[in-house]
Amino acid sequence: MSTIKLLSSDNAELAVDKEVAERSILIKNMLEDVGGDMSDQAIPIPNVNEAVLRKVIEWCEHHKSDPPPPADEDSDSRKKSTDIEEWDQKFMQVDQEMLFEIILAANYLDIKPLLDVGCKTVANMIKGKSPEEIRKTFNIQNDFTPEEEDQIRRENEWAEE
Amino acid sequence: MSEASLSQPSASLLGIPDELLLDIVALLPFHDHINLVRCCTKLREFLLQTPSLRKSRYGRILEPLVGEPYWWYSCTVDTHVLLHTLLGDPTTKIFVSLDERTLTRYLYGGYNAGKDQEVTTFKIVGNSLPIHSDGYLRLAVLGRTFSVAFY
Repeated sequence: MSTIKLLSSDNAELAVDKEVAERSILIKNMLEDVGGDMSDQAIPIPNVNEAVLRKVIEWCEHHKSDPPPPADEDSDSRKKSTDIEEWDQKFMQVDQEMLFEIILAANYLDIKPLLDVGCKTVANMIKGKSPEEIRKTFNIQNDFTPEEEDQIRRENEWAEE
Repeated sequence: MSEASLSQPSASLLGIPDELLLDIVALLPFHDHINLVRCCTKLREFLLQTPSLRKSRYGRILEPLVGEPYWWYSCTVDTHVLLHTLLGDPTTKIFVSLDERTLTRYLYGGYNAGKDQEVTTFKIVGNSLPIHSDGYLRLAVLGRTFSVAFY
């Protein structure tokens, strides 16, 4: 099995199995563009630091044998469920900054299944929470004036019926 | 890869690109949207006004989420439309919450909302979804009937 090297934004060089790295459509396309031979040159990943890249690689290694995601973007199973398999749930038990870094990295590297897991994790953190609990969870400042809060409450009274 | 991701947005709920926030929001049922609207200005504006609230990777945000206790629809093109119905309930209602600018744009028949009418609530006529073959939803608005297109 061939190995390639990835260069993180903080200049760490990580060796990865090509098969694992190709879970990233971005990397897969880059390798195809250069004819698949990047054995002596590290592929720069300028938007992802070492810690995040290691996490992403860990996920890709675990999921390297997964079937490719359905081509249908509107796949029912993806859009209607926030279910996350057990391994992925544990994988996503990281601090919030890392969680969002993983989501951003998955988006940048074009790893849709990982992006799905990240989005579902955040959705589950929001689900069923009150505005105050959401603010607390995500460290969001309540920047509404009392007048705005009153207006918003009135706008949404109908939803409380 | 999106252009937004190239600008290295900050790693937080409010810092991620809109397209990713939309993907997250699209996974949530309607009442969570309402709670997000109440969180802060950014989320409120995003949910109610963001032009990009059209289509997430999970499909049109307007599609009913089967399996939820209700259908929810949120946001057509460059506006905010929140439709909510409790199916099978004899008191079924669809509510459309619109500001007057949006209302003007979305209602057919030359209706112009009053300037002081910041939010208007619409109630469905009858107990079933009055979706006609032309794809329009017939709504009674303040005693007048209008068609609101949604898709």
